[in-house]
Amino acid sequence: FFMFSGGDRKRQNEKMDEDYLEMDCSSQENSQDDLVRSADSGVPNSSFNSDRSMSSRSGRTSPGVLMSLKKNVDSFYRTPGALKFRRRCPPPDTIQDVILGLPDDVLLHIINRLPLLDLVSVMQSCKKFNMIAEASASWRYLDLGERTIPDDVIRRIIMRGTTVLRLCGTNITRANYEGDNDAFSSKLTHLDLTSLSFIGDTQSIVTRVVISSNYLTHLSLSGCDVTLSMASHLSLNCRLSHLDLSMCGNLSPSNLSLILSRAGRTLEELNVSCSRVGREGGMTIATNCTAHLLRLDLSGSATYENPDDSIDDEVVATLVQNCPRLLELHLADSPNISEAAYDSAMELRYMSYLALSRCYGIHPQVYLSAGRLKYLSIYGLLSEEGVNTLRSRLPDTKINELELAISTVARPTPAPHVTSLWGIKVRPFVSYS
Amino acid sequence: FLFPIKMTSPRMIKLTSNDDKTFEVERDVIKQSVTVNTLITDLNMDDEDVSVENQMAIPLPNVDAATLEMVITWCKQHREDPPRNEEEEEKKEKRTDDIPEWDKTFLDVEQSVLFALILAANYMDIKGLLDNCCKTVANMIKGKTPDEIRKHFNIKNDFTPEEEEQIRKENAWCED
Repeated sequence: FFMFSGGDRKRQNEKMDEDYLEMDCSSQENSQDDLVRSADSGVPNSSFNSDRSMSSRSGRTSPGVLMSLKKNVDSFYRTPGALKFRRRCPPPDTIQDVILGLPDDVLLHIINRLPLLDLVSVMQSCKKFNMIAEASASWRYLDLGERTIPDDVIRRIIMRGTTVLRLCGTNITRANYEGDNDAFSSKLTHLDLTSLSFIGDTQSIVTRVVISSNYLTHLSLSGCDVTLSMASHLSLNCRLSHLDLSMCGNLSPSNLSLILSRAGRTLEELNVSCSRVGREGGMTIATNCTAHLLRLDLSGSATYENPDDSIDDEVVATLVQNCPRLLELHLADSPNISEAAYDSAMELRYMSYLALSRCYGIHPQVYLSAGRLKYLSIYGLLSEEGVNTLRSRLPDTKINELELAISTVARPTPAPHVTSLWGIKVRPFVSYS
Repeated sequence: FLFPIKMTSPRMIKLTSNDDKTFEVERDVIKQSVTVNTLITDLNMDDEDVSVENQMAIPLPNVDAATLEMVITWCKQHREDPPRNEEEEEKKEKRTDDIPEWDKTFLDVEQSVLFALILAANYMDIKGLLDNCCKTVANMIKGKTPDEIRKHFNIKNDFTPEEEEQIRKENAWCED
């Protein structure tokens, strides 16, 4: 039935078409509905649109005329010249903003390929690009080192989702406009704040960055002043594995104790060289660190006030007891340690790199038993001749390797990796071309 | 019941653009489009032994004839390309200066054509083509000031003067 009625209908339509052609007021644009009505009445219907009735009244008009009438229906009924005052419509979208018509993910695809400098230019071109560029993955691994940046900009950039950030040698200035001082959260996992410099009291931004980062695993505060708020925030971190606190100011035993209260349980590498932690600081480290610790740099622990206040045999003994998996230990410039410290360090099962440069309390004779070490640094203790004799006696141990003269413990950019942080590549703000 | 299958000519696939033009393309060429390839496999079109004339055409409602023709030309050119490893691509450093010479010339077209091609590549999921198109656009952006970028792409500056000043100040530091 269905098919039959369909066929019937088709035939009917054909018939109508014929009728319609005879009447010669056919137009491709007319709807089927209109066709039906015209066929039914046989004469132009009053409900037809005006130009249609016009053409039917005028009898057999050629399709060309019909078309032209149809085209100009707007102007036909208007007062001549009225069009002059018609409001101009904007031209249809031809090439205007075509690029912004692309899907966001495609735009992101394009933007992700830009060097950072061009990314910043694109951000300034329009709102949509600004929004999309903020979401770009380019901000994830960032090198803002050796630049002068207002503190608020750093905050804004970090909020774009940076996870690995290098602020080494960055000169931070106070924002020259009103920036909001709200707390913010960051996704930073690796943060290098080595040798920052500040103008005015912009230290606060660094404190805020550290405080905002709950996911930090690698942190270098080398050369920074450790504030109480930083220390108390780090006391909440339970992910930290690499901590570089070398050459820090204000690294008091109480601050150290705060920092290590939780981090001590997770740290694998810790560097407090030249931070003048004193005997008490050394003891704090020895008691708070656990079997997770693999590398430790405790060199230069003597304080300014009292050069005699530095780590001693007891600190080393405690350390050896608490951190049985240590494989690298730097105790250079510790005048108070003796052969006992050396002996306890050598008890460690995995110990392979020991640095005891300028530890004048240890008689060089004992190093003859250091044969199972891979590396031994004993600068300033023996003459060149003495070192050569020792080298010939300990064929498997590398003594005073120049490349290892500066310890790489927890350091973000040890010698071969100067363009990456703890082995992760970061993007600098320079154009490739 | 074993019919001898004649392997005289390579298997062809029919594609229809949104303006109702039909294109015939080798199965092996169009496999670069993940969208079309998935469709062919999902519909088991590979198993059917139908001649091209009776075969169902795959409609591509988002692609016009001119663009589809370009897409097919590109796919033919790149049919020998080794399959892409997306994980590897992700790891690679994002460069824009490694567009092959042939693609450079091929993509040296008007912006509107290039963007239509991007949309088609995105819709048909042809990673290689999309990648090279995006690189071409990125190269257009490179080295331009915000104002030059707006001019080049006919983008309207929709920042208020205050917003623009704010953004300019914020980014002034990276120009040194």
